[in-house]
Amino acid sequence: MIIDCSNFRNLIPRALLSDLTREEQEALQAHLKDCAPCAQERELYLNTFGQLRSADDAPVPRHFFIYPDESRPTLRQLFGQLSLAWKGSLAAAFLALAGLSALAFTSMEIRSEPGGMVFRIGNAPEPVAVGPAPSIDLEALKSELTRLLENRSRNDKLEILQTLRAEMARSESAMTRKQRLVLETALSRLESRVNNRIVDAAASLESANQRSLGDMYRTLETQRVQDLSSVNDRLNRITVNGEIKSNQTDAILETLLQVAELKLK
Amino acid sequence: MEESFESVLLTNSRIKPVDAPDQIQEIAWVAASRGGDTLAFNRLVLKWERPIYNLALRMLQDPEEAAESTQEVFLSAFKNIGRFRQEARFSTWLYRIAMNQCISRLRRRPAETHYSLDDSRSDASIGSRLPASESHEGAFLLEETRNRVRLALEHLPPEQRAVLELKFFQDLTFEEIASVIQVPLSTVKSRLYAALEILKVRLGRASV
Repeated sequence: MIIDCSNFRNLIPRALLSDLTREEQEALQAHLKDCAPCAQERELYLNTFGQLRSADDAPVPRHFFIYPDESRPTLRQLFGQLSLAWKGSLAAAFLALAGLSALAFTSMEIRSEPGGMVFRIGNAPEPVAVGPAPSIDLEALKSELTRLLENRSRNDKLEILQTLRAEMARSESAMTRKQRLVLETALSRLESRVNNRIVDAAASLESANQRSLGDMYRTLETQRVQDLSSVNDRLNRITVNGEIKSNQTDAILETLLQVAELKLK
Repeated sequence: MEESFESVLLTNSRIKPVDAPDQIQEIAWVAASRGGDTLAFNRLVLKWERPIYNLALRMLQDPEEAAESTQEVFLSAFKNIGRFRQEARFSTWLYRIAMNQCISRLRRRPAETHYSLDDSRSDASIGSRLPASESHEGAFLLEETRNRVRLALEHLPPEQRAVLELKFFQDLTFEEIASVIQVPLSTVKSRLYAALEILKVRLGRASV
């Protein structure tokens, strides 16, 4: 009986919500006639349902209209309203655009160059490939440049190097990346060699100057010694001459004295 | 004199009220709304704002939040009406938006205060909530019952409260409820009968 009541009590709310089969409904009705506790349970449910139903709707505090300015459709909403064909086309276009953007992004290059920044999307442009890329005889170019530079002053040489670098930057689009790299290396070496030569030239000049000063000193010393000797000789000669003249004067005076003494006599 | 939005709504909509069954008229308004007709959509708002507001009020137990939530429901419905394929009834779709909105709000709230069965808050608070104009006995008793129901509903988990709301206050069938909250029919029934068991203890005892 207890088990039966438990089963029937579970059916009570289901019965009130018309969720029973006809057989279950009839069995419950029969049980409720004989079972006071289950009938009381039913009353509790009925009371509960009654209270729930009494909580009727409250009036709205205002209307909840949508105004045109706040109802502007979003992109997503517009997309949602398109037909399947249009959606597919747009999706394909978007994917293609995304793919191209990704490709461009992966091959993008930004770097600084003498004279400004370089922004490039994609690979470095190759020279217009009508035939094979023009080859450059770097050794001949190097020797020619060296010959030219050796005949110039240091400033001229530096100026030529700057000009060459600027020219290289300007015309790099005409060279392949590898050629540009080789030329850059050659120019660096050339510059280094020119600088070394300038330093050597300065050192040799300094050495030559020192040598010439020593020679000049020695020449002057010799000249001075010769001059002194000459002066000394002259003085000696003057002295000798003076003595000779003095002897001659004495002789004359002696002669005169003798003459005078004779006359006096 | 400038025309009010409501008067424009009632006169200028591309979709006029016709002598057609309610359901057909609603389908026409939905179709026009999908084409961006705000006035047609506002006819749907006029029809459904009271049930949706009361659903939100019973779920959230806060008039201001219920109004805010109702506005969001209609805005969301209008923005997403392109997705509504009319395989289900518009009301089912609208209830689903509203219920998701309410349950989401309830879950965002800090842990709710639960009251024991002996909670004496009801009597003290009911009197203080009554407007002076409803102070005669009948109104008092009605308001007392409403508040007791409100308090009892507060103790239910959001999922049970949702099923009870849709069954008792929106009069949806079990199948419709399953469609709104997107759970199996058996889950709907088990949640509903569990909720009724709790309410029977609270409301049944209080009235005895």
